Amino acid sequence: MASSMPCWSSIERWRLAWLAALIGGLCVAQDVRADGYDVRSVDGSVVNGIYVVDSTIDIALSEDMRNALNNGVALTFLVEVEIHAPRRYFWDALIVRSTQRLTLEYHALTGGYVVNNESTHTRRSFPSLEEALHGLGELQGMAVSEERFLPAKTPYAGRLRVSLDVESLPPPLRPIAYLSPEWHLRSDWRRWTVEP
Amino acid sequence: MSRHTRIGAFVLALSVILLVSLVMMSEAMQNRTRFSHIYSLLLVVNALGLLGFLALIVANLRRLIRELRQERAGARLKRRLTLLFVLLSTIPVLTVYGFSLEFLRRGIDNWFDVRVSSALEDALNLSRASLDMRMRELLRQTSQLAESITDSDDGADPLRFEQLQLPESLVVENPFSPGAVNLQELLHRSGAEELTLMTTKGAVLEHSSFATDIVPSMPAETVLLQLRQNQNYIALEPIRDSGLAIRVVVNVPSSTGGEGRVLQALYPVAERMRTLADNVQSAFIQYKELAYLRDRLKLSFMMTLTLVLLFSIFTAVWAAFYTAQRLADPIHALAEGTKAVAAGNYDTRLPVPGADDIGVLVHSFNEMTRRLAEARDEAQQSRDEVERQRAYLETVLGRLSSGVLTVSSLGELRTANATAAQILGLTPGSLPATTLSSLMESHAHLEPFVDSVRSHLRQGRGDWQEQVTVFGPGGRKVIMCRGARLDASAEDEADHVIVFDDVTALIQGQRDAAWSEVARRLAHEIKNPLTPIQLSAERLRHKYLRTLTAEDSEVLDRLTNTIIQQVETMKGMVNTFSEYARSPRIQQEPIQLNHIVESVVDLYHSDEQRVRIETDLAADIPTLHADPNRLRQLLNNLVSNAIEAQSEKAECYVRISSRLHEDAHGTSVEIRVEDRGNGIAPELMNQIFEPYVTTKPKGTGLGLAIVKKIVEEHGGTVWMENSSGGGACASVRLPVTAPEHAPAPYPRNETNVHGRVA
Repeated sequence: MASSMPCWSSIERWRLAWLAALIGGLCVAQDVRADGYDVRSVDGSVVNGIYVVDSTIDIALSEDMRNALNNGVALTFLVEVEIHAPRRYFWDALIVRSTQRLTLEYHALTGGYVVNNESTHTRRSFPSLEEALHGLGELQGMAVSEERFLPAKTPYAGRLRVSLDVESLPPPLRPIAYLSPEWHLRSDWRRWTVEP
Repeated sequence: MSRHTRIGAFVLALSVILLVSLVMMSEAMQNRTRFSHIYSLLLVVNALGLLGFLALIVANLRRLIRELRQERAGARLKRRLTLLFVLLSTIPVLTVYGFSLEFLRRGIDNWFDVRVSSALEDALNLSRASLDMRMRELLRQTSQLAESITDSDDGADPLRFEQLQLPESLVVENPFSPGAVNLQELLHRSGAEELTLMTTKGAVLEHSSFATDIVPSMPAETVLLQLRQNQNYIALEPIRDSGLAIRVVVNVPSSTGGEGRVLQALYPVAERMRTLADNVQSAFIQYKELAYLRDRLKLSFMMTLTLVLLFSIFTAVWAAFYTAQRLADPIHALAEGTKAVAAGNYDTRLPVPGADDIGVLVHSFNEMTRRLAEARDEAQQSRDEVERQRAYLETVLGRLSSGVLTVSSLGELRTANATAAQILGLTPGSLPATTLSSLMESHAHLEPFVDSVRSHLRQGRGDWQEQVTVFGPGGRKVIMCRGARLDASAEDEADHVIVFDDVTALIQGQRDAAWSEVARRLAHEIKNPLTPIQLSAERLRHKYLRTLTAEDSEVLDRLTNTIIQQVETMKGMVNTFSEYARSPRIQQEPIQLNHIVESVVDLYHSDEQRVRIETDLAADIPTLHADPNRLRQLLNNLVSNAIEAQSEKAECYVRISSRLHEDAHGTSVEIRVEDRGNGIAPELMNQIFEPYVTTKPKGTGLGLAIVKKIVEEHGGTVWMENSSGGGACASVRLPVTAPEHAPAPYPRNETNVHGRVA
């Protein structure tokens, strides 16, 4: 570079270095992928005119998260479901987006764990963390949309992913949760074909 | 709105946003419910705001450094002010920051106490212990219920859990086994909230509940596993929204063998107990969370505090730059303005920054430049006025027929008009920027003039007048000079003005007029008595010639003849005089000068043989408009004059030449008549054309005077000079003019007689 552009001033070289650092940082941030989360299966069906999704998600907690959970920090997971109508010459149209918030917290009195589904207002308790995580990952009958909103016969594309809601963590934890790969977890989109 | 004001407003807005954001951030740290959800956003906003501030400060700093390098006026003052402001504002803020950090650290540490921690744990244990007793009792009670089920049981069909979702199956009792266990009754008897009979695999057989919830709260898989190993399960669980409940799951002893069944009972915890236990639990969890987050909390508070500190410092530093800039700007403007004024730009006006001291200074500066500009304009006006006057004077002087010179007392020529150069015979415009001495060196003929002027300058008299005669290339010139000192008050150094006129023509004219008058009178006075004298002499002779003796008559004849002859001569003389005196009466017609010359020469050819006349006539002589008779007379006079000049010699030689002459005054025809006589004495040269001036022993002395008169009648010039080969040469120049224009007045001073000594 020095040979091709010998007239670059030191200021420009500094600017370039900054830019490179920024881009590099962004790439690292993008690379943070949850090895801990995996949507194992997902399927949809219509029950009583409502399109519901059943899904099995493997959720594993990092050491930091386990530690925080056992010290009374509630972890909130977001399960996002989207249904798109595929279009040939344009990007797909978003038909429905549904988000469920699932909270996992430690219950000191009983020594167990409580999973709270904020969308359905259901509360389930588990004696151990493993069971709680298992229970958390078993999403049965998650209502996504009424059937009438999916009228066409053409198949829709559905996708689902799970992530940790950092914004629900206590403020002191949030900066570290954003910056540390231990915390900032998100699964890949899991796709399936919706045939109402 | 000025740039300053805009930036100020922008920074003010930024500060307000940052301040609000910081307050919200601090609130979010202390209270989970308020602003907590936008904590990250606030963090980003603050960071960006501070970065913005930093950029502003860096820009200001670079500007300051640039100004210092350029040594811009006011830059050093700005640096000093900025430094002062920054120090004044930063040091206290940093001090407060240091102390606050320490207090913060200690304060947060003080929240946590081992005793509080253990007390909370004890409270939790106490809750557990008090619930344990009740739980053991409930386990025993549930076991009894299970036994009572065994007694009345004869193996009911399992009711699948899925079927319970159908409304028709909303039954408590098993419709297919009317004699089955009455769970409803058991529910009432036990005081449980919910009773469920299920297989050890988790299939619900029967379910009864006080709650409206139709779906039984199922035990975890591990619980069922535990029961299959014949271990009963009892646990305190937070169930649904109802808070704590006690879940008891026991095996139903089987009398028949087959698939095992379990009975699950959910017992509510007493309201008061539940509230207390919940409080203990939440307090414990909160404390635990706080303890866990202690370091991070400290970090977060410190971060907030640091953001506040940075905000304060950045604001202060920026304000320092801003204020210093505001103070230094007018000073810079003043310096620039002063420079501009020094460079001669008096129209510089500075914006008045305000009503403060600098404002007054700037106002004074503006007033000063305004006055300077006015003074300059006035000076310019005066200069223009002077220039106008000078141009006016120059025009007047240029149109004067008199020469005007101004000379310093040291002899330097200051000004001269065009006529001055013309009179002195110099090229126009060569006069100023020279001195009298150098003028004399380059033009020797001006010596009398320069000497005269110098002598008067030396004497330093006020007004003087003198007539000077110079002999220049154009002939003799009589110059009438009048001088005066320009500034009468200054004695030595004053300039002199010299006004002079070429009076040669005037003097000549006066002389000519006088001669004309003399000739006219002479002719008149003499002619009258001549006729009676002649007649008397003739009569005397006629009467007495025959009567007298031969001797006497011969004497009489000789005497009377002499009288008559002399009277005739006198008559001719008088006629010549009257000819000279009469006013010009010429009759112009187109003529060929060469022809006239030839006709005149022919007259002399027939004469004596000793006269030899040579002609050299140019072929390109144009047609002249002139009086041919007068021209013949002119040529006759000149030729006879030339012959008479050689009367003493054995052979006469006359050479007549003509040629075309062109000069600044136009085209003219020049005729030269040369002889080989004795030439003209220098003392006579100036008067040779005046009447009765002659070198010849005989003649009237009017020949050349008449020549000159004829030449003047035709607007020409004539002069006499001694040729290099001995003898004299008469030259006549006649202008070539269009027929309709009568002889153009040849410049008066040129029509004079010029003497030239070769």
